[in-house]
Amino acid sequence: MDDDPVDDKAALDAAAVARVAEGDAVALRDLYDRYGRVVYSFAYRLTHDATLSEECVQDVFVALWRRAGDFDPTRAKLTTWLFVVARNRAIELGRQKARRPELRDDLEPAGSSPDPADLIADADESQRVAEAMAELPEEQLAVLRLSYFDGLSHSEIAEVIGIPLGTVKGRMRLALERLRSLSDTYDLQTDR
Amino acid sequence: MTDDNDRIQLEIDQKTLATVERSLPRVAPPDDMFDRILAEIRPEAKVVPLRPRSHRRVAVPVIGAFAAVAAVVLIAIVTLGGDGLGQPEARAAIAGKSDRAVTGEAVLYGASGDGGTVRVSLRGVPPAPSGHHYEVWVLRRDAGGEMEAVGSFTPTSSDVEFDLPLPGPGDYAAVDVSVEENGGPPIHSDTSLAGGTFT
Repeated sequence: MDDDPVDDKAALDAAAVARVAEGDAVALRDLYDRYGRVVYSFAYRLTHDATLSEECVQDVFVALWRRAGDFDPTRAKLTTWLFVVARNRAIELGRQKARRPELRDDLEPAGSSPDPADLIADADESQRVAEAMAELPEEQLAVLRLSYFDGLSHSEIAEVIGIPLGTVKGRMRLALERLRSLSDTYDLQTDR
Repeated sequence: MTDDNDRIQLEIDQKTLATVERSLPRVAPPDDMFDRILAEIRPEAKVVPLRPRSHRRVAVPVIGAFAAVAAVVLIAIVTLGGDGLGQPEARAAIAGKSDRAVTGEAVLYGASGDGGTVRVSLRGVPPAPSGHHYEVWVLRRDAGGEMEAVGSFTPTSSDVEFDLPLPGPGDYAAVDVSVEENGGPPIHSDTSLAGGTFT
């Protein structure tokens, strides 16, 4: 009974990627459902732009589809792969946006294009947090996603997932504890 | 003491969430984000999931290209919101076989002439096993006992509904949903997920 849920999750991810490599779009959908939201949020943090974030997410999952056969789960976790690809693409898109002449300044608030140098610095911590969240066991990630991104109450989450309220609270507690311990592992500045 | 512990725990949770908020904005990709991804990979896809939609009639490719089922009709029309098929000629209540949780209905439209359609609605469909997909078959009383494949799908939801063109006019007796191995032989696998008899 000493199975690590994180290892189980990595194994599930690896199995899903293997199915993607066989051309199974449903497996890609499963992975998108699991990680698409976090990847999008991560991209948005770096680009500050919804359109670029969408382009980034699309590129990441299309890359996963095309390169799934090259993925080696013994060398890296899928979450690491996803966020490295997302980071590189988001920074590239952010740089392109910064270089792009603004023909209509009135269409965008001043400073909406991040400084390319800041992008790198922002990317470090954001990538660690995104990976930490994505590496939560699926049942905890699902509860945290609904609470954090969708703003659902614990009662609403219980109804959506179809589990008792106490179970929702328990999973949230475990998610936050694990996120905090992962944050410690990743040396995040939680008291900043 | 418990109050103190709760307060400390709450502060820790708030710090953890503050860190998350600094790094991951509470933003959401558009609802059609995965559809866009699918649109880009579809030409390369062996399997394209049939996704229930709640709006107007939309043509969706169910499956890209399995050599073994190349003769099978590859296009299905998702019609949760649309109709225009005329009056139903026969219905079959679908019950689970290999999975008892599956239920549903198949309805025949225009089956006595060319261009007929079978509308299949299924609930409680489990994900297809790895390396497999589901295939819809119909049996005509005048077809010598041979089941005919009319379409394939891989569900992304437990509830699916789609229309498939019938192979031709006939006296349809039954519908069956089989579990087929990707790239397997173009015959019924003998493993039925669910099925029913037209009345």
